[in-house]
Amino acid sequence: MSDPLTCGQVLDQLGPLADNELDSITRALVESHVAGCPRCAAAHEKLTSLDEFLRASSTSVREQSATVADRVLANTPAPRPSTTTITRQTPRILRRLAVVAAASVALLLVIRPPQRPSHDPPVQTIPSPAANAVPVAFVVRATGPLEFQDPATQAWERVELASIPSLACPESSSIRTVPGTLVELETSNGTKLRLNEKTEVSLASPDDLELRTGHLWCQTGSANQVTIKATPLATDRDQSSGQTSLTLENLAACACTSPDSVATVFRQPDGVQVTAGSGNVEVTLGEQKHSIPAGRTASVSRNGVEVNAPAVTSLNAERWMQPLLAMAGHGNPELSQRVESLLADLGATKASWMRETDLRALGEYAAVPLIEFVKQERSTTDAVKRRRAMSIAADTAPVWTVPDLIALLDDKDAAIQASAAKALTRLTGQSPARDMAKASWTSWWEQNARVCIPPTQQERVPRAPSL
Amino acid sequence: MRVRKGQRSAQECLVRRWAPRVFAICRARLGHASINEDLAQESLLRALARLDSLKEPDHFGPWLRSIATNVCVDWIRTKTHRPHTVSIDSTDETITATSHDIDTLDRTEITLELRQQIDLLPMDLREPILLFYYDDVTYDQIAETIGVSRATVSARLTKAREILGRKLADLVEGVRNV
Repeated sequence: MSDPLTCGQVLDQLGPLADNELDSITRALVESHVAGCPRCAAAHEKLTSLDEFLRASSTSVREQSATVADRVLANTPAPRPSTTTITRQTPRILRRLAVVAAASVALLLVIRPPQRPSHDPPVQTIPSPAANAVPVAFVVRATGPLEFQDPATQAWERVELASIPSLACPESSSIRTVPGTLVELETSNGTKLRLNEKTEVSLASPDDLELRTGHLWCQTGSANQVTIKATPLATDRDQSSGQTSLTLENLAACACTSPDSVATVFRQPDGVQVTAGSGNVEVTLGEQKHSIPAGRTASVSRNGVEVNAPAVTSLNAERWMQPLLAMAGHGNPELSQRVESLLADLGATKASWMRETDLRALGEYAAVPLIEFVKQERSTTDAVKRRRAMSIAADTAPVWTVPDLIALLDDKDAAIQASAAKALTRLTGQSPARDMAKASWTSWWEQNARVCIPPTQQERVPRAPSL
Repeated sequence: MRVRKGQRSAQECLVRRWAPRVFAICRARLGHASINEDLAQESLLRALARLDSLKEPDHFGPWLRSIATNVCVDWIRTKTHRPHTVSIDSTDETITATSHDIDTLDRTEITLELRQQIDLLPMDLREPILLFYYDDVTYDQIAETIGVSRATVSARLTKAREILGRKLADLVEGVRNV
């Protein structure tokens, strides 16, 4: 039987099909065509993907709409009964619309995701390390609570780092990050480790670690070497003999074998992924050793080791560490480097909107370098980038940059002047007339400068104590 | 008392039912401005206050839309809003991802960017898309609200999705390949 519909007709009906707006006969015809036509099937898949994103984008809007409704009802008295003809229509309207509303509310209730139960362990006081316990590493910053396993008791305890200067981790202790928490550690030989959320590492020694689950970044610093082993998730059980054997996961390891080597290790259900950032990075699988060139990713699985280009750029791959960089405070070289890299990519690629998002996410920690960039003579060669940098800084600059912003009111670029004025209005709460603006904001600064001081070095999170 | 109670329940149903649609109409006109909530609230309050003047109850949707449109136009004419900080924590465009998983962050970023791309659509395409995704409405209900035929609604949604689909492909490619 021939297909009564052409591809052109079907493509026009894919939207109504997805929206459940076709009658049963047309729906059957369209679905039949899609099932047998690769082109239309691909278009249908793309539409489904788009639909998912668009529905996701409406989630917060529904919450805002509910807020609007709450506010309206709070500001509206209950309607009074009336004898006029027109008013008698009101209850009918409300009743008619109420039926539709009730059905819609029921639908919203059905599709709302259920609450997940919390499995957080209770907060306890961490025990002091034993007198002869030698710290292998120190947790120097964390964006939230973490869990620490005492090697002596094997008990997991929750730690709020904000309440203690740093957490000393003895040999064979373990650290685990909870959802939403990022952690940075420094080992006693200078290796820097950053753990993404839901990551667990065991610290056998300063240069011998085990990644049980999750995702970490490491930099050897002045240390010569660090080895990160991947824990076996399970042992293979031979179905016929019932014997167990070690899986390849037990044999995989990543080693940074030179100072200032950088690597990212990702523990996945079916293996390990190692991305080499710089320096000498090797992956070992059983007896095989593979050297990973900088900028490449090794995927280790039962099939062996495969080295490819990474799926994402390092700029994207390191986005998750931004909160830790910001915690290190203003002026730290790595943060400055990241801001510079984001700025260099701004406007240069299709993903530059992500760079702007990242810069905004860094808040004042990016605003200060961005203002410095705008102030530099070399930035005038790229007016578009300069304006974008200033636009971001206008929304995120901290109050102690007021003098810099006042100086930018005299910039040759009117867009820079406008951004500086916008920032000054936000920071000072003053919106003076144009001809009085500079004098007004200068006066404001003179009156408030003593209380608008930038954070000092001592106010940053302290580094690990030297041993 | 039963009548009063019944009317209050019906009033609450009406407000909750139409709030998403009014919000979509305001958003279609003003983009992702933080003022959208205030204007949607004002539109609903005006509608409730003037309900007695609605001659044909079946035309409530278009009538409410005209009120919301007038509220938005009035605001645009007389706006005196102060500059506001657009931070990553803006309540109007909230990135709620708490996960630091790369894929989750990418999807969240793409979703946010796609929402902004909607604001760049022509008005005749923007309104049906917002009404469809912000409110659980049918093509017929959209047609009634904006005063066009059902076929026109279908065509406009198709066109809007074509444009957004191309943007989405660019966004995904930008995340993967750059």
